[in-house]
Amino acid sequence: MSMGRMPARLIAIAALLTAQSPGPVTPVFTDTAAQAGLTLRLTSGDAVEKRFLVESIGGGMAVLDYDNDGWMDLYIPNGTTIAAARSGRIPQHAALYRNRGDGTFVDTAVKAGVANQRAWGKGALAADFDNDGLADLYVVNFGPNVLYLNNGDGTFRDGTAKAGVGDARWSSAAAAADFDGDGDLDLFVANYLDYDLNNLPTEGKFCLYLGIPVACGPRGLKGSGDALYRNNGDGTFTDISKSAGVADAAGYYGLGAAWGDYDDDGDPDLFVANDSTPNYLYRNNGDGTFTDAAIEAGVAFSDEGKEQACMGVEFEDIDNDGRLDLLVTNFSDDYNTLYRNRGGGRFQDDSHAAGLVQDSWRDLSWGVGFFDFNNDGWKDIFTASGHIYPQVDRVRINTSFRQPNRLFVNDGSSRLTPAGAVGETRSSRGAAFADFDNDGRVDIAVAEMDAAPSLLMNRTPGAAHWLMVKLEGRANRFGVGARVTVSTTGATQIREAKAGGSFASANDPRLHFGLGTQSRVDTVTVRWRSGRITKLTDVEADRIVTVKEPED
Amino acid sequence: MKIPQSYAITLLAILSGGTGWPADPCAEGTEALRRRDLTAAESALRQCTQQASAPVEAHLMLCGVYQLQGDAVGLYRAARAGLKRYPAEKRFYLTAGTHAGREKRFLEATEILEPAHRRWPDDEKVAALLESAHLGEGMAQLDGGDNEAALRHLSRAAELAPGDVEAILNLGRALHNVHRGEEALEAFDRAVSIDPKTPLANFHRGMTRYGLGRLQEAIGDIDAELAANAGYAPALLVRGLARMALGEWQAAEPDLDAAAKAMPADAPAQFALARCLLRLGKREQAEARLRRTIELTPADPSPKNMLVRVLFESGRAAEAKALAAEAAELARRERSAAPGQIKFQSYRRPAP
Repeated sequence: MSMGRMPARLIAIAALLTAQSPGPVTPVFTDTAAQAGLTLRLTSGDAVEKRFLVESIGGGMAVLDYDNDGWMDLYIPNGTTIAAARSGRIPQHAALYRNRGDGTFVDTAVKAGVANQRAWGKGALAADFDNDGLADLYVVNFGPNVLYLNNGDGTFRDGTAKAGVGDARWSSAAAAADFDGDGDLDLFVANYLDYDLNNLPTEGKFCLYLGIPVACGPRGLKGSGDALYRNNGDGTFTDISKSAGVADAAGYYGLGAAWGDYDDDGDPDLFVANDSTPNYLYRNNGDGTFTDAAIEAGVAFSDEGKEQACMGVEFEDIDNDGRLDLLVTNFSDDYNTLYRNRGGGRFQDDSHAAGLVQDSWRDLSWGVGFFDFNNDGWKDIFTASGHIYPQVDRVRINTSFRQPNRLFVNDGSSRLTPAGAVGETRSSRGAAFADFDNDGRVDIAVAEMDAAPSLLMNRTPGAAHWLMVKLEGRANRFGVGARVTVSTTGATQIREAKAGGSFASANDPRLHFGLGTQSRVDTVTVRWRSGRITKLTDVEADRIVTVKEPED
Repeated sequence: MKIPQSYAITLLAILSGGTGWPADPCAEGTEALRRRDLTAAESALRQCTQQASAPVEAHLMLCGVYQLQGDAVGLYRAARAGLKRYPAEKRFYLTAGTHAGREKRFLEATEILEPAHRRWPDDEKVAALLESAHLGEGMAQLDGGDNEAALRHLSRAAELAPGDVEAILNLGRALHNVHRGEEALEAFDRAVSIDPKTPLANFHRGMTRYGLGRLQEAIGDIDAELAANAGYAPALLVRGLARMALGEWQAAEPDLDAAAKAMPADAPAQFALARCLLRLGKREQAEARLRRTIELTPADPSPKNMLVRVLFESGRAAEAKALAAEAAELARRERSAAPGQIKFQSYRRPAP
């Protein structure tokens, strides 16, 4: 019925109902990092000046349950200083925060052998590369990356040399997927700049921001190519970047990467968020190669045809239409871009209508997640922000080094509602999302520049229902690449199991669904990467459900 | 007994012998001026003022002669010469500064008048002239694109005349141009509070608010501007852009259409309308506007990238790919630095 033909009485009733219906519940978070024991200060060069980009581009973190005790742990690589990195003797170490299950964590990085003190840590990925059911760690560094294989006894061993994945360039993010469907996880690494600590750019073209002298680049500097390592299934990998068509011959400045089956053809595609250069959307051809479809799909540029300075990225279905949308975080004086998947391989920059432009304009955003923080059945958006230039605080311009992290609440309409700042205003970088206390509410860990991380525990009141799905694949044991569809009365949601995303980070491998008032789920359908289907019916809500991949 | 200097010169002339010796040019000039014989007065007073001993009155009289002759250049020169000799005489500053200002040599006028303002900080005339000079120089720099210089002069003008809306408004423009949006808004607020009818104050405030991402407020400002200045095309453009940024595509279209028609050679206006039309599904019209934008700004890759999308969506992949390559090359050039344009600092590892 069109509004034009609706009887006046009905319009009045509709208006009354609209007026009376409560708005979306605003999620509530409490930063418990200090009391939880997340106290290791993250270093990223000179805390005051940050004259070089290597100091300004911070890093991310990875959520994993490394000891398989059912509580999500957190790995945070640490940076260092230029002097220490030059000397090769790095005093700062990463943190592996083991979740004790009582709201506190203990750092076991050194004991576990994942201190990562040979290079400047930038980000981390958790994934089971050897299909032993244990989460391994891949750490991206300025300097050689490291693959830590989980021994299953609380320690890791360095498997980098054998695997051949020690990319020595400035890596910024990594993401894993079984792109070739052979049952094991392959590894993509986004690299940023060809950058030499012994020959640093100091002044000249591209060394000013709004007239202020700042760190040079990335424009004017040489970009670094990206890498795709195919898992051979025997502990080794083969660099197939060139043959697969994802080597980044143009030398774009890669900062973020995420896998997702955007064209719903059953195999994972890859999005690479590039800084100040066009993004890549690599469509998986299913034959070991990819085709960059970013321009044709409408995700290479903003709505205005402009290259944006892209940082983080996430693939999720924000409007519950069964298609994966994209959110890319960007520089200040620009907006974070929501590309809605319109089907047929095309996206539309819908940031304006979604209400993201006005409220992300001042932010230089990095970490990003689509999660249903209030469990109402609609995925909300969280962005972590902080400028790269401390110098912006010395003049009155429209931004600041420390910036609020923001929440945008989704109530199912096309427009998101800004829910204000979350946590303390710091200069944030990567963000990872997990249910650290297994209470069905998604929490957030945020990497902060020159400070200890934030741990934003979700304390949203209310009795909205939820479901978490833990996947147990037959080959790729955490089910990465599986698509889970949860159907309740009148609503269907999808999520894909992923390894890597946000900014230089990895999230809880379990898939979280908010269910609103629905206390039962009609069906949970898992389309595994192998093509097998598992279907559960009449599933009780408010629990973690483990779904195992069936045999043939 | 102290012999007056002019008499000493005359005496010296007589003693030197010869009746053809000139009489005292200062006295002659004074006398000629009294007779209104301006030619003779000018000649004598010029001679007089070239003497090191010329009194300040002679310089002032010479200025008076030029003023009576309507010789602005002579007046200016005489005032500058007088200023050099007698820096404590205010009238020289006023005369030279006024002339420089009239000749639109605003920077020079500020250089003449700043010392005067330091000497006589309470003199309203000096302050007014100095403010006017800074305003003129600031406006000239603003028009010439040197925003930092404009900012310096307009700040000074606004400091000297806190109630001068023109100075404050243009200070706001300069602040906007150097990305100091919050301060620009303060300036525009001041201009509007002094005179709510200040032409273009609401427009500039709206434009700055748009740049800061304060879209609703920007639309309010532009509404106010258009209420007083109906059909002002740049204001229509900004309001259309703000509405697009809010996702209000249909509401944006009339503004953008009017702006594009009023400013057919303005690339941003054409491009904005193209974006809006594309979003409203009017692909053919959008394509025409994109092609017009490309004509106007052939080096800008953005409209080309948008046209690439249109071409792909309408099945013209070959043309799209060719244009995409062209746009990519333009963008590559934009973000590249030639050797030497960025300096690098080498570090040598200390010997162990």
